[in-house]
Amino acid sequence: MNPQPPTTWVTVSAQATTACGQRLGALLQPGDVVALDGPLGAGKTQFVRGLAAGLGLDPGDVSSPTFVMMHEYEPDEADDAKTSCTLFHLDAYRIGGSDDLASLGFDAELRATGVSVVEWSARIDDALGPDVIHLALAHGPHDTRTLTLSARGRWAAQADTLLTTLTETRP
Amino acid sequence: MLILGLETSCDETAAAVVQDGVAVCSNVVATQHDLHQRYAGVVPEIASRAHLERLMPVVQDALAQAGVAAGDLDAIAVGNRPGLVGSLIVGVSAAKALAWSLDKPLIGVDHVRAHLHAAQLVDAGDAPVAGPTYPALGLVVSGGHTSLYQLSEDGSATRLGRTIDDAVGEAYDKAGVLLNAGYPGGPNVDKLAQTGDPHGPDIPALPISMLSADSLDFSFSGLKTALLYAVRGHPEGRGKSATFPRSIDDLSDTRRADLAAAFQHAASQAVVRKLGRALKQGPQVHALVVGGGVSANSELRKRLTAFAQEHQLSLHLPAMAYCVDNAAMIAGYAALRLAQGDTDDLHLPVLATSRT
Repeated sequence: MNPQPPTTWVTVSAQATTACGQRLGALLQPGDVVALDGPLGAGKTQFVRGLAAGLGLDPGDVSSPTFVMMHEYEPDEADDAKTSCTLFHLDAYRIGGSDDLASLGFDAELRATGVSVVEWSARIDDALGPDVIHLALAHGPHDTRTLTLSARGRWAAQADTLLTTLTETRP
Repeated sequence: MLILGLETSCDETAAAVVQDGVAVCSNVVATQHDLHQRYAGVVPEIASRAHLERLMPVVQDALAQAGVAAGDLDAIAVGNRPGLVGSLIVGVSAAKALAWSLDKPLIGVDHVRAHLHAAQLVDAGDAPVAGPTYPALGLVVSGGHTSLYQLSEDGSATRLGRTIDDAVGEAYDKAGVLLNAGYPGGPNVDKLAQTGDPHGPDIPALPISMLSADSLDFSFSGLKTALLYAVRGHPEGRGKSATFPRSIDDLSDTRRADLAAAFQHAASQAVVRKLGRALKQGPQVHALVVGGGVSANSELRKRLTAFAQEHQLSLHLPAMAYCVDNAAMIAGYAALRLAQGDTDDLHLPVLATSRT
């Protein structure tokens, strides 16, 4: 299946970027992979904070994994396991390539047990599996951010739905 | 009481022998900084492979430098959380093998908690330093962690706040990239800032994030983005074709130094203001205990010294060698655990996250 042509929109604040992540998070299930790219300060971690909230996890647990390369956010034991799942938050900023992922213990088996989101994903793209939602974030004027969606594998067929969800202004 | 400590939670492969929890007989750290520098902070090979190659030579060095035979040890301590599971496993497996073969107790130590013991460490032969009077405030500032704790007499640490985005050391590394100051960012931005003026001509005031009125959490991503805009200007143009008006190469050396000083000012202010807030909110404390790589930062040390004086707290800063990740803090903190009879068995797990 060919990837859909990329589609672009603008968020006007960090909160709007987070809200975007939250709407996407609500759609995701274990095994899903979200790949994020964009320069320093583009809002990748902000987006992940929203993603965690959308998955029913505590967004306050989210912090940048640049230094340690991977964080795992798990549902509280009290929560219903059906409404939330583990989020693997990877950051490939300091990772040389996909071979290095093995040292993090991040493989297809682990990937299947939760939702994964990868910052600086271009470095390890070939290790992310066939079905990936990719978002490129870029700085725009007046503190805006430009987001570009491209989806591959089974997500390519659902790119329209994804885009509608992501760009929805208010519920 | 002689304890061998091992540390492999992130980049450093380290081993140390510490007597009675405070006197450092040897402290060996094989750092990957030389490798990182070549690749501008990117890990060029699997961290765990590097640990595997270096750990046993590092352990042998640590024992030899301390003049201690393995059989003389009273326990083997190892950092088993938090960190990269693949890296932690190397240290923990080695510690288990040593503990089993030497028939000594095994003690798994929380790396972040151990940072708060580093201020107690002295070189063997030197006079011990006075310990903090509890309850105390604990501050860990490093590349992976920025957290505030309440410390009690029994050694327990209750977390009061943490970073909600970047750790302060990570913000320094990224500032190092933005200012083209070199890797690692901490010492290089600190050095560049020495010649700069945070209030120099046309230097914008960088944000000091306080979050909501009662929050003891930290945030450094806004500071990072503000520095980006100060260096490169605000993006111009529409959508995907928006571009930055300048690059770091367009800045004079003076302006780079001024921006480094402004960044350093804002980052250390953010830390110190949170400490002030914690004092106002919490029960009375008598001491401020600091640890982690960023506690080597000259500006932060200066501000923490002034803060402790102003609030009549005793200040416990690690010696420079014990700020960065090291195994002496692991062995040192383990002595408290051993004294309480609190040891682990060979099922000791590795954990990606901290328990405290």
